[in-house]
Order: sequence, then C-alpha cells, then structure tokens
Amino acid sequence: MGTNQTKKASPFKEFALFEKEITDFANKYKTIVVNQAKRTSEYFEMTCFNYIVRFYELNGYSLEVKNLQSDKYRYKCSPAGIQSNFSHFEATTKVGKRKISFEIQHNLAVQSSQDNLLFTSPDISVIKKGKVKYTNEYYETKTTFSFVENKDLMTFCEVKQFNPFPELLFNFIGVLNELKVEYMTNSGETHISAHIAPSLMISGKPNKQTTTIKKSLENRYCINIIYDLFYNATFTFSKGNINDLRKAGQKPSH
Amino acid sequence: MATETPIINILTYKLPFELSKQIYNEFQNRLKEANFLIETYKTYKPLKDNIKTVELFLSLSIFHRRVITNLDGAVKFYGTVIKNGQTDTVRIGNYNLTGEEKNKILAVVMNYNTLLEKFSIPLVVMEYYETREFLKKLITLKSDLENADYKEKGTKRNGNQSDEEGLPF
Repeated sequence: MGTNQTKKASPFKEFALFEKEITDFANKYKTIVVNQAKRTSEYFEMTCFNYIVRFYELNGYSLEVKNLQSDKYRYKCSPAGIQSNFSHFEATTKVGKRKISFEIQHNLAVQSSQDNLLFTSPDISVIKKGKVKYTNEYYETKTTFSFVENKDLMTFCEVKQFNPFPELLFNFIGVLNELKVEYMTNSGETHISAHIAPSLMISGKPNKQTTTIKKSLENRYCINIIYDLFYNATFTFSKGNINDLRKAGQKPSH
Repeated sequence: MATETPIINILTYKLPFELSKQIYNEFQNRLKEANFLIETYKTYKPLKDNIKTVELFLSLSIFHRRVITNLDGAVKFYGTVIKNGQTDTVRIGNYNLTGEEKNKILAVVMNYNTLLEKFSIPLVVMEYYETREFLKKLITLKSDLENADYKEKGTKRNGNQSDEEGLPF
C-alpha cells in the first residue's frame, strides 16, 4: 500500500467526522459560495451554452470568440440589451473550398416563422453570420430592438434549470411551432453544414411520465430533449456519442 | 455547538434568499418523505439507524445540485472562452469572472470533490429524481462500504494467519 493513500472514511460509521467535514467545507468556502450563488442561473445557462459550442467543435467547426467588449467576453444574461454590445461565438466550417460561418448567440430575439411581427428569445440561437438586425420601431418607447429574421435562424436551444414536468415539455413544442413551423410537419431543411436540431436542455432527472413524453415528442419531431444535464451531458456531448444527437433537418425514419 | 446547527442551515447560511428558500424547501419536503419511507417500508429499514446520516446526504445532495454543479459550469465556460478568444475575463452583468475569480470557484469545486472522495461517495449518489431512489442509492452505498470494510478486515486476518502459519512452532 502506498504511503500517500488517504484513508477512506465511512459516512455511516463516522457520522460525526462526516458532519464536521461538511461544516468545515461550508465555513471555509462560505464567502466565495455566497458571492457566486447569486449568479447560479447565469452559470447554468453558460453550462448549456458551453455544450452547444462543444457540439460544433466536435462536428468539425473551428470556433472563435467575437465582439469582445473592452477585451472582455460580455455575456448577455437576458433578452434586454443591444446585441452588438455583447460577445458571441463564431463557428466556421469548410464546405468544399468555401468557408461558412455562423454565430452562436445568447438571448437574441428571433422572428416567428408564422408571423413576421412576432418575436421570441430562445436562450441560445445559431444564426447566419452578420445577420443581427436592429430597429427602433418594435417598442413604443423607440428603444433599440435587436433581432434576427427567421430565415437566418439555423437552430435554437432552450435551457431550463428544473426537474422536467409535462407542461415544460409541451411549452417547448409551442416555441418550436413559432420558430420552426416546418418541424411540425417534419419538413425541416437539412443543411450541408451540421447543426444541432432544436433542443430542450433540462437540468433535472426525468421520471417515468416525462421519459414517456420525451420518447413521444422525439418520435414526432426532429428535436432533442436532453435531461439530467449535469450528469449526462458530459456523456451526451462526448466525441463517441455526439452523433446520437439529432441534427437539424428531418427526423430519421425508423 | 456547531454540530447542533443542522447542516442544511450551515450550507444555506447567507445564500441569496430565493436560492436558500428553494434548497430549504426541497430539503424539508424530501426529509419528511425519507423519514416516512424509512419508518413505513421494509425496503428502507437498513437506514433506520442512520437517519442523521441520511439528513447529511440529503443536505449535501441538494446543495450539490443547486450550487456546486453551476459553479463547475462557470469554470468550464470560462475555459472555453479563454481557449477560443483573446481574453481572460468573462463579464456577467457588473461582475468580472477573471482568472483569479475562476480559481476561487475551482477551489470550491475541487475541495467539494475531495470531500466526497474522502468518504467514498460516488457522484451517482447525488443524482436522483425521487426520494425513494435516493434512499436506495444510500442503501447500496452503505452495503458497498460495509462489504469493502469486511473484505479489508478479512484480508488482514488472512494475512496474519499466513504469517502465523509460517512460524516454525
């Protein structure tokens, strides 16, 4: 036995020690945890964004951070704000001799595919490069509104830090119907460059009912519903498993 | 004195009200359910003498899910930005996540993992949807640790035996 091996304790037998160690940990890092805890929902979104970036990386795209603000990556935490004041990732791939670039944006308003006057902001959207538009006509206050036209939207993702429940899942289909109506009839366009299919990423673990709903919805639409994000995402977004995620277009026929 | 304060209160002390409320409510609901299951059903009886340990695990697992995993996500996102951009700072609202700040968060995550490792707690124990699933995982962990302990003692005993057998008298 190596001398460096730390002795393992049993939390069942050594209850007092277990309690003491948790208390020591909590007290030692209290200040940092308290300071950071107010940003946990942003950190969750960032976690999901990170996985989407990884999807593009594993699909052969080169990635670059764009639009730094004063040399900083400025993260857009909410739909409010002018998009050009925030940073994003640019994903570039080669199709033949041509290079095509897309932007992975956070909280950008996207025009509806059903009505040009309607907009909604998915948490993450992948759009054609340089297609963010600005208008002062959207708000009554004439505040600048940033958006992307529906034809320039490649795909989108919604992220939820909840345990999955039926209404949450069906709401996503409402967003899909608004932003990618062609997916409702399985007529999504398959692109030469790979894009992740519209996806719902949920932190919580499913139960029997929500597992059944996921199966049913994925059977009907070309989408990904990813549960249990903190534990399964490393596996789902790994090199060996990335191809199990559906790509934008039409759902595979079984 | 410190041991008299419930761990859930220590873990949530000074956290933002909303987050603290979510953690605390989840803890109370699950604890009530866990106590009921252990008292009522034979399946969960192996935990009858470990109610206090169940309480610690429950506190830690909720804290894990609602705090630690998000901190870990921040560290990973920071890494992706640094890898793909000419910057060393992520600005979130008015807060600058710099390399130094990232290291502070990383220290929390690493020490948390060390704590789990010290008590042979696999991450899978922290993953559950239903309380009954959580209790079943604790029963398995308890049994695994007891078996490992038994085997270790057995090895030592056998080891001593063979030494004795080697003696000339």
